Amino acid sequence: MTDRTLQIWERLSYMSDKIIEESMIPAQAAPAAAKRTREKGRFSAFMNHPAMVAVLCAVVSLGVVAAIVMAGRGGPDVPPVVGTSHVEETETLNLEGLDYTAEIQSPSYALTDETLDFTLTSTKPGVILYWRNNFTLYLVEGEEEFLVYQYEGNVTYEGSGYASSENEYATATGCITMHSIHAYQKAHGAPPLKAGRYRLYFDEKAYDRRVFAEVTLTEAETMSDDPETRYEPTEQVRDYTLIPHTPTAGINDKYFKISMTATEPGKVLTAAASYRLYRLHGDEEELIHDYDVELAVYEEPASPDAYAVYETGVSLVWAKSNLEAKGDTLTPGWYRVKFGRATLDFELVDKTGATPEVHPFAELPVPETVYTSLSTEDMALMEQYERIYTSAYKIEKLWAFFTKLTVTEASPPEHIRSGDGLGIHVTYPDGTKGRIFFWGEQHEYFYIDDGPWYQAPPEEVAALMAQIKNTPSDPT
Amino acid sequence: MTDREIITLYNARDEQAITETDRAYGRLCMDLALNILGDLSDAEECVNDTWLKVWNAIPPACPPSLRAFVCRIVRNIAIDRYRRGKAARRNSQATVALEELSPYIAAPPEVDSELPRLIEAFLYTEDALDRKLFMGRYWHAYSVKKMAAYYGLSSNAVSHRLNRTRERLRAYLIERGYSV
Repeated sequence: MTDRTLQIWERLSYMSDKIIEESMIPAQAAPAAAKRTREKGRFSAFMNHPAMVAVLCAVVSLGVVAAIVMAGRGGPDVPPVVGTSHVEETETLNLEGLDYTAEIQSPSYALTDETLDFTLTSTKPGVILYWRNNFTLYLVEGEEEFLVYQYEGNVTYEGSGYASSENEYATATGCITMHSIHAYQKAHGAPPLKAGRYRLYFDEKAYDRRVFAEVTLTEAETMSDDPETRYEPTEQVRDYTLIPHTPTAGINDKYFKISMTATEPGKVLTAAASYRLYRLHGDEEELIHDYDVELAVYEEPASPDAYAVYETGVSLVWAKSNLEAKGDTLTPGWYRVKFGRATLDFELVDKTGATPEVHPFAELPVPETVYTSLSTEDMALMEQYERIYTSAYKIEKLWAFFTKLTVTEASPPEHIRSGDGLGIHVTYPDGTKGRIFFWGEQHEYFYIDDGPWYQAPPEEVAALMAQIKNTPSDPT
Repeated sequence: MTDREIITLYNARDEQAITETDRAYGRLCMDLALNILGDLSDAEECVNDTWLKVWNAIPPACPPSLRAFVCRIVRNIAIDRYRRGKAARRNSQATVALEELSPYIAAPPEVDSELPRLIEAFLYTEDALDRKLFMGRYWHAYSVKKMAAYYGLSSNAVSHRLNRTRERLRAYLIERGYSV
């Protein structure tokens, strides 16, 4: 990184108030609550704001006096107005913030999009925007409206719903996830969501108001196996089984590879990525490596029937290094690794007679962690091998991927490219089938079997692309 | 207390203004500084410096958004500290975010004053979620994990979206004659 980069980064401070504010995540937001459902997740964060208590009090008060609310006052000239409704202002209660307009953030969404985002804008500047988290989505056909989705939430408020000055219009944002619409329709026996014109109503019945915005849903343009349309689980599981990849570890191995496999299918595996490695002396444990990272495992399963698997490894390099720092060394014998509540004992054996596996990255000192949680040492390595944001294990997997896999079937023409993407099917050396999806100008980014994304070295990508082009089923 | 009332306190040179600003935006500023610096005591000092700067700036400044105003100041102070202690900042969110972004916006110095406007114009061509993710990552230096949890996406989806936005930004800047 250069000073030039920092200069540019510094210049970005001078972006507008609006764009800065709308992207703030409230400092008190509780991220862990966010994944339960998409709507509840986003909105639950707002509930953690300390001003929430005041807002709840205000809205409860408003409910009591709802009878005094009347319709009929026109709003001032504000940004995009799609639907409006109004409340009367009183001297004693500040009801101004209840009056807002709604806008869908894009005039059209594809049926395969993840979310349908909306913005509510106060019709008066300088007031707090309050809104009740109730909305209904209707399909519009001619003069008729057909209920498609209904969400009844709690009284809530959005963290950015404050106007920061007397001239500014407060806004609040929210979203509906498409999968929740699909789930709602399924639960109510409705036919699948189809392309067409839709109207989203925000039901403020207590205040005799219905604010709405319109949106067009279009057919999917993306390929069917686009990673963004894959199974999106909402439930989490914290229990997992530790499965070693090999019965024993070699004394000169860099890693002892382990899979964390969720105990329940279809759920996201959440766990701590930290571990402690002990050398066992009978029943006694000697701590030899404390791998304490902020990184948390968050691994999604590929389908409702699949078990989420997080592949990781115990660093024997670090263990050896720690021991050597104390004048000791790594010795054959029994070791114990503890990941949170899970414990696995394994034997370290001398495999020096075996033929070591050699691969192109073998000489590289490799980063310990994935890119979201880099230590100082990792960052130094990153400077040497910039843009290989992956763990040692994954580098090995990457190597195996580029050198051993067989491209069995390039995707058919209608699927082969969608915008900047390219999907292929492959067979791994063990005979299992897999799928890789590439994107980027040179297809330098890719997923392996819906796993994390990588950026590959250009020459490796070029080699693979050449292989793909030589695949008979590839029309190119 | 509203922003306007706080600004009135600043205008009256009432030191309560700092207390109220801290109460309203202290946590927000602390988070931002911590994201950039990755060190609690540095971040605390940074926030304290921010209150002094705000005190000196208002009046004459009368920011339309006090929240954005203080965030901008804390961000600049934090970046300045970051620059001075760069070698020790390897594990801050900012380091990782900057590494991601730098290949895409290495514009020449003469476009510096224009760059924020250009990037902002570009971001308003993006959908709202992508815009917020980009700003979250490269302005507020939020971690991918934090944004994933807040917006109800997987970390992969956030990374994927950020990557695509960066690619589009590069194309956008090149289209406008900036070699990046």
